[in-house]
Amino acid sequence: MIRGKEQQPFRISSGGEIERTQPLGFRFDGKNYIGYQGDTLASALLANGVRLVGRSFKYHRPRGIYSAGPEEPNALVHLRSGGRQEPNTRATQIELFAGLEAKSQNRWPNLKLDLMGVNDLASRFLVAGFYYKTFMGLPGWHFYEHFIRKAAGMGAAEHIPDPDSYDKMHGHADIVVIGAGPAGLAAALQAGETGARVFLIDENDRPGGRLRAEQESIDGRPAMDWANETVAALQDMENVTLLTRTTAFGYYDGDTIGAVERVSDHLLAPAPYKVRQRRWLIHAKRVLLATGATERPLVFDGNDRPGVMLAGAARAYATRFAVQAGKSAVIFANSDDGYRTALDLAYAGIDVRGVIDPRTGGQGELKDRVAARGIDIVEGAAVVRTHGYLGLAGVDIADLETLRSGRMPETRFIPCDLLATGGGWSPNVHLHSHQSGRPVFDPAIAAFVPGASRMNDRSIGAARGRFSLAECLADGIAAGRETAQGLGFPVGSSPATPATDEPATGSFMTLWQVPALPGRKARSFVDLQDDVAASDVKLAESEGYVSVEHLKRYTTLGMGTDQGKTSNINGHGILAEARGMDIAAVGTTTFRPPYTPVAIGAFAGRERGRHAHPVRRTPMHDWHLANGAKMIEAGLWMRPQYYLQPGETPSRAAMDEAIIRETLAVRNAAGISDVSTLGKIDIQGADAAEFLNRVYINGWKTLAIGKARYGVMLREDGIALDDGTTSRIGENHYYMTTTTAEAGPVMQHLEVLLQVHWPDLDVKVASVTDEWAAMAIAGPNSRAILSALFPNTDFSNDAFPFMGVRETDLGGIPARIFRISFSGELAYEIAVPADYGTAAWERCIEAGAGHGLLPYGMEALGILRIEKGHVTVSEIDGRHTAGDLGFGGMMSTKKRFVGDAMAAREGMADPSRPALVGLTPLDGKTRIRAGSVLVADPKTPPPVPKLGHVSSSAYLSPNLGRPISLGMLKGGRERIGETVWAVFPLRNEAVECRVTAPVVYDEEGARLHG
Amino acid sequence: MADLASPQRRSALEGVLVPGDFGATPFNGPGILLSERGPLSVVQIEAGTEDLTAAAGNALGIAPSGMPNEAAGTGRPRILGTGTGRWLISEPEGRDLAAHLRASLPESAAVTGLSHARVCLRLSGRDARTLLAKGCGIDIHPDAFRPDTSRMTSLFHCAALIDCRSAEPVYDIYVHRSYAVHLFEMLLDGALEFGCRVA
Repeated sequence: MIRGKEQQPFRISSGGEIERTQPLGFRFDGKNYIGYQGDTLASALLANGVRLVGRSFKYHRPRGIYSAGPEEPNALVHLRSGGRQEPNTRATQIELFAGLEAKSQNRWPNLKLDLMGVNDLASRFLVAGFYYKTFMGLPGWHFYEHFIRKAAGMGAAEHIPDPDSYDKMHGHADIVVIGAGPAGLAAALQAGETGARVFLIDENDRPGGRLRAEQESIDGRPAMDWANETVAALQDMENVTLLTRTTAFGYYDGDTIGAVERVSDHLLAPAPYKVRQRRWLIHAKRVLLATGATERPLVFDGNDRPGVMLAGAARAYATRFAVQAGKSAVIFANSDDGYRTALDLAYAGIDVRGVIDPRTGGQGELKDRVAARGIDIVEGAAVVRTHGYLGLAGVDIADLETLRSGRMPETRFIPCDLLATGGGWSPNVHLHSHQSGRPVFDPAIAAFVPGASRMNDRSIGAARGRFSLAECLADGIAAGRETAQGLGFPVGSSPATPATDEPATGSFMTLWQVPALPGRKARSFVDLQDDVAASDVKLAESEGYVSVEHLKRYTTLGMGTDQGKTSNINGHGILAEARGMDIAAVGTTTFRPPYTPVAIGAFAGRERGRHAHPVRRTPMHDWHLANGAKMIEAGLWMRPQYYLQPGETPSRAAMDEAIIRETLAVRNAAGISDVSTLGKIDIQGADAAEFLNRVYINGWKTLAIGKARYGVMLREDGIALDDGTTSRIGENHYYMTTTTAEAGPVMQHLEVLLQVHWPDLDVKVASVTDEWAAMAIAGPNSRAILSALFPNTDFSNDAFPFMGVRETDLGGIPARIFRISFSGELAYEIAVPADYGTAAWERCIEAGAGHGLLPYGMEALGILRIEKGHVTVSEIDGRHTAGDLGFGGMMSTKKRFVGDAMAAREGMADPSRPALVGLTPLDGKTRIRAGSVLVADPKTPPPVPKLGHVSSSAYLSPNLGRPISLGMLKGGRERIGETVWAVFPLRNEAVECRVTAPVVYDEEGARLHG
Repeated sequence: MADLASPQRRSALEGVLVPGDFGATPFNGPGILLSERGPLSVVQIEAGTEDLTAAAGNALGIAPSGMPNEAAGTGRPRILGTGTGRWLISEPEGRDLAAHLRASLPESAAVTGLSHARVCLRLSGRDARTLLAKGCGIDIHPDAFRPDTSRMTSLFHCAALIDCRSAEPVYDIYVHRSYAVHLFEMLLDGALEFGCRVA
């Protein structure tokens, strides 16, 4: 529990949404403070008189809290500690909780004395593009880069695992309303009453939007009463889902809204079993964007000092949080918002020293109310300079007209600790822009409003530049009703728009920047977060960066965590002025998701660690684990890599020993391997043989029942797709196997062929990969083991020849036996229904005990097949033809098959194409790394002609006593006996190899057929 | 077909599905109930050149629906439409369902045994829909996914056939056997916040 003296010298004694009965202790930069339930970190800091909260990105200038919302450019803090710490969080968006800990960022050694502030003194050199102009291209950029990036930091992340969990959720709605301000609430109520399924999303802790921060009334009562009643009505509707603390961060195709719900961020730690955040994908039929607007700053010399704040934020702190953002205020605004602010701040007990209004006339009735209170009003004037270092001490004001003429005006100093500035409001068009909506410039408000839409969205209220409360309510009511009606929901008679009591407002004056005092190097910031000043924009323009997109990338205007929420329009306005163009012609940059930063955890959800992707397990998975298997990922599958025997401890030597033991067992006695992962496809129908004949390159019309055949299939472009055996189980019934890797693609390939190309064929395919547990028993002793397992089956070579298939049973377990081999040994595959897999496997182990049977894993399997030159997905890799792989002779010339036309094209049949070869190191011992590039001479200066690559490698063939590899080598069949080099530049390896035939063990295949 | 009485089927979830109460303990009991249905006989039938509806109805005692995604039967058997002219039939293991159908259906029909290829999870409880919405993009609102219909979709990145047995809600989730452990773990993990009773 953090305790502190409950002072809060800037807290107003009454009003606001805060709970004065619930004080909360928190810590900032090591010092303890007290705030209230309902505060944000920003409001609690201001209540305690903490004005300096950070240092700027580039010049390390002191910065204070600037806004009261998600647009905050300055007050980025490092929140929490340990695994929960989070850099770059906006103090304005952090709900205060007891025990909150935060640190300022981007300063060293501390906030008040930041040595990197020296950058500010050198600012005349550190202009846009400085680092690139100075360091890029020089030798040693990589050396400088480290220090430059350290100086220009944006907070640092940690490597400690996050202890919390995150979740994902899908939602479906007829209408999604984004933003629960007056327009959104009115729209949701209307839509909800029709029975439509409505989602209402708001990023704040409770609905109300701007009403929470203003002194508005609806139907003669405080506007928040109306908001609360509307929320209560919505909560009563079963068809309405209200999500608070939920930011809609992206608008995606198909009217899908990405949103993140901060379930537990307002707590010290999530409650047991509760997630920290939940990422939503909400699939909508219609989207109503009631996303409001963001206030722009005014650009003038020294506009970044702590104590300078957006006028709307000063009002929000006074009204919603009962906090005085300062004791004595000056207000500088180019619309009647200045007078509104003066009244609200004065009401909050702040000494308002003056309203500086650049306009001369055209104001509305609020000005008279301000004048009536005796507050000083200066028209036609601007703030030209600010004073103070770690906090604002006062401002200089001057006549704008004189300033614009280039003459030195008379200046007047007004002492104050708060300068509230308002430069107009920009509709939040971000979500509209995400789906290629093109905002258009509206000169009446000097901002971009939503333009034509590509999707089913409609912007309402302030989000489309309708800033008065009456307009927002009317817009919401109309949009809610019309949208529901458009979807076919019944609507009743139109309700009356609630009455508001808004004073008539005056005109708005466009003021992109206040000219600098003659002779003064003004520091007029456009983008506070990225330290981009008006002078940087002008410099970029003079150097030819005249497009807004180039301006952004050159100056970093609009980058950073706030993505230019307060700065973009001003920057583009200044660029337009510099170019002598209209801002409408200059345009604006494209907004892309996310609207505000989203934690990576929210995107990962619960799919992390062992659930990062689905894991497939074979029926014998548990047996492998219980019997010493080290497992390895093969695609989504887990497969045994090798098996340690009892008493062996995991080590490199033990692994090598296990692999050699398993390989030799297969060659000299017998081995058993889990091959359940192979794809299996059940094929039935009168035209099944015809179908296979079209799918495979070889002939299938003559396969007898009870026989298997090896086949290769091509893609339509003539490249090899997969290989495997297919067995004929019955008259019109076949059982196809595929490689593990290509099981899915082959199934898709067959389904496309049957559904799209040959719907006339009577063929049905079904994946039965998961139905069958499959085990291969290979080795000279396999016949004896099979005979013991199946006493009623004759396994003699005559009765059960190579490629024979039998359906039988294994002690009550239905089984299919295939005499096929991947290892080159006498071998059988047994398939049983998967739930019996472990039982069958255990029987095999038992039957093989006296025959030297050992389980073998992927490593031994790899060595055995490389010895035999058998290809896998490493060779059938989507780049090679059947001819490349040595299957050219299998391609039938008596029939058509998928891929035949393309396979016959010149380039595909070119004899100089890479061909499958074996590779052996000349010294008989150096390992060849898979992935090595084959070249004639490693000493050739680059570019070195590539002859091919090493596709598969066995570090040691225990049967041959040396490493062996397979590779794809240009003109490989003609190069047998020659030498090439296998080079692996990443590890600086080069091995001289002899090219051999792919098969290097039992070349005649005598072992297979015995 | 062999005598099924002697060798015991081993569930893909053996050792993983452990009965008990997990996660939060709401005062009104666990929000999620999760169990495995089985052993089941599961058979896919697909029409060849002839319509199967009548013959399948005769063989099974209930007429399958001609509409994809529509289900028929109370579970002995349950017939799920999974495509045009294609159904998945499941029932508690007893008779040799595949052989019965092979014998009863026209020769052009394909009959494929999938009893061991599928694991069936029974998901129910007041928070069942919310749990599904965590891992599944389809609309599971009771008006959109009604009882006695099914959906082939992706659930926590696994291909799944979800059968809505009742609006209460009760779902039977058929998943490929090799994915069963992953799916069970994801469902259980996602259910912890509601409290999960595994039976």
